[in-house]
Amino acid sequence: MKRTRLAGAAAGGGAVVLVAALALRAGCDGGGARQPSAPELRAPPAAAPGVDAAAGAPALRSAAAPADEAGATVPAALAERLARAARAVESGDRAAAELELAGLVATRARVLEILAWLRQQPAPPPEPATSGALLALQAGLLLAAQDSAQPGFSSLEFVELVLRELALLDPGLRRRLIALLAGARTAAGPALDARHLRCVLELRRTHPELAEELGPLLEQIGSALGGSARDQDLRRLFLEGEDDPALVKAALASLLASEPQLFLALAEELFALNKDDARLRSAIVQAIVSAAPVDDAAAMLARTGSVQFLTQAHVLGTRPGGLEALAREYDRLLQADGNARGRELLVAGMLAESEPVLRGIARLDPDPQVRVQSLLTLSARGAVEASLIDELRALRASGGPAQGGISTLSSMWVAENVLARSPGAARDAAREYLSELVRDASLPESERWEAWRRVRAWLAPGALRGVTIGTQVLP
Amino acid sequence: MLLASLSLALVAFDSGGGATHCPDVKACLTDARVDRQNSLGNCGFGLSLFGLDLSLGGPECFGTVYTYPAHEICHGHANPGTLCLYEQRLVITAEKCECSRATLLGTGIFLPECECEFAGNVGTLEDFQTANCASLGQPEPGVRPTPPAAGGAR
Repeated sequence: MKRTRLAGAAAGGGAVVLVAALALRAGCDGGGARQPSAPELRAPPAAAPGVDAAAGAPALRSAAAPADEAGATVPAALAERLARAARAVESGDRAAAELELAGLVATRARVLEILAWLRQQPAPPPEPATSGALLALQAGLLLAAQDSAQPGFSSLEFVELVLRELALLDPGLRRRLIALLAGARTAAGPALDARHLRCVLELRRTHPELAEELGPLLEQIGSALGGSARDQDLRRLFLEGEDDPALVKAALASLLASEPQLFLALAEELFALNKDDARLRSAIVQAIVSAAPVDDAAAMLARTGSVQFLTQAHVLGTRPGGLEALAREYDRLLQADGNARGRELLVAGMLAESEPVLRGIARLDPDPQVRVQSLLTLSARGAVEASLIDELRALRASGGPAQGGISTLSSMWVAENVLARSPGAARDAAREYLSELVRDASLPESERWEAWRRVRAWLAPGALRGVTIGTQVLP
Repeated sequence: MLLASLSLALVAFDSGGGATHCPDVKACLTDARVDRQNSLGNCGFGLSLFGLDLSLGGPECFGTVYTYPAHEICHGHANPGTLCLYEQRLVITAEKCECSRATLLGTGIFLPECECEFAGNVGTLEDFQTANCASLGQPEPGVRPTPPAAGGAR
C-alpha cells in the first residue's frame, strides 16, 4: 500500500506508468559483456576454450599449479596454491604473495576455476585456502577495475560473474565475498560503482531472500552515483525499493540532488510513514543530509527533533555551506523559542563552528540540553582552551539545568572529552576538575564513581589514594 | 530521582480536575546502534601485480564510528495501565579510526589493521521507561495496572 501511494505521488499522476516503463529490459549482462559458457561454470572447472592458462604471465610459469590433461588445475593443487597465497599474505611475505596471486589471476580461466572451487566447498569452507580464494578474487576485481590485461575481464563482467555465484555459496562465504566486493578500492575510488547497479538489482530480483545481504553492495554503489549517473533507473529504484534502506539511500541521494522539491517532499512523507523502522528512517535522513540543498536539509534535520540522527548532523556540517545552514536554522528556531530538540541536533552538527560561538550557545541557549550539546560539540572535535573547564565549573555551580546551568553528570562528559582531546593545561584542568568531583563528599556516590571511572586512566597511580566513596577506599 | 520523575509525570497527565488519566502507553526498546562514516577502504596488504599497485584483504576501515546506546523511547505504543516516563540521558560516543600496522606478537610480522580510539562524547539521547499508573495515584475506573512488558522496560 505504501508503494502505491508513493508511486502516485512521485510523478504527479504518471508514476505508475513510469514504474512499468522503467522495468529492466536488459539482464545483468548490460549488453556486450561476455557470458561464461556452461562448460566454464560447470564443476570440475575447465579452462575456457582457446585460453592458455599461463598466457599473460610467462614469467610466472614456475609458480603454476599442476594441470590435468584438459589444462584445468587439479582442485587439490588449486586449494594448496590458494592456501599458499593466503599464508604469504598473512606472513607479510610480499614477494611470495605477488608470485602466487599473479599466477592465480593471470587468466580468466584461472578465475573461473577459483569460483568453481569456492562453490564446491562444504560449510565451513577450509582455511586458509578459502581466504586465498577471496584474496585472489579481490585482486582480480581490482585489476579488472583498472583495465588491466589480466585476468581478461572487464570490471562489469567480473562483478557479474561473481554475483552470479553468490546465491550458490555457503552463507558465511557469501557474506565475506559481499564485504570484499563492497570494500574493494583502487587509487581511483571504489571498484564497485554505478555501472554495476543493474547487476546487483537483477540478483536482488531473482533472489529476494538475499536482499538484506546485498545491502552493502547497494550502499557502495549509491555512494558512487554522481550527477551524471542520475537516470530513470534511480527513480525506479526509489519507487520500488521504498522499504529497503539500502535501495532508498542509493537512489534518493541522487534524486534529491536533481529534483529536490519533488523528492524532498516524498522523502519526508516516507520518513513520517515509517515511524518504527529505524534503519529506513536513518537511510532517508542520510540521503537528505548528503544531497538535498543544505538549507532544506538543516530544516528537515531539525524537524526530526531526534539526536538519533547525530551522525547525519555531522555529515551535513561537513558539506559546503552546511555549517551556515545549520547556524541559520538554529537562529530561526531560537528566535521562535521553539523545538529545543531540533536545536540540540543542529548544534551537534556545528563541528566547524568557532569556539566563541559554541561557548556563547552554552551560556545563553534557554534549554539545558542544547547548552550541554554545545559544550560536547566543542570539546569532542579537538583541543580547547583551559578556560573551558572554568566555564564548566561555573555552569555547574549556577544551580543546575533549571537555573541556566548544567548537571554534574553532563559536566563530566565534557571534562572527559577535554582529557581525551586537549593536551597541556586544558587536560590538567580537566583532570583536576574530575578529581574534585571524586573527592566531593556532598555528591551522590553514583556521581563520584562516575567521575572516578572517567578520570582514573589519566591519573598517576595512587593520586586519589585514601579517598573514600561510600564504604570503599580508592587504591 | 525516580520518585521525582513520577511526581512530575503525575502533574503532567493530571487533567486538572483531580482525576488522573492513565495514558496507557509504554516505552519501547531501541537497540544499540553503530554508525560508520567515511570509509577508508580496506586496511589491506599492499602489493604489486602486473605493474599495478593493489591493497588486498584486511578489515574495512571507517574514519569515524558512532555508538548509540540501547535506550527506550516513547512512540505511543498501547499498554493498559502504564505510561512512558523520562528516565535519564545516555551518551553517544565517537571513535576515530585509521589503518595501522599491527605486530603479531613474537613473530616480527607486521599486518595492517583498522585501529580506533575514543574521540569523544558527541551527544546525548533521552532514555525513557515504562511505569505503572497505579504508582502515580488512583487510576480511572476500569483501568487495571499491569506490570511493564518483559524486555520493554527497565
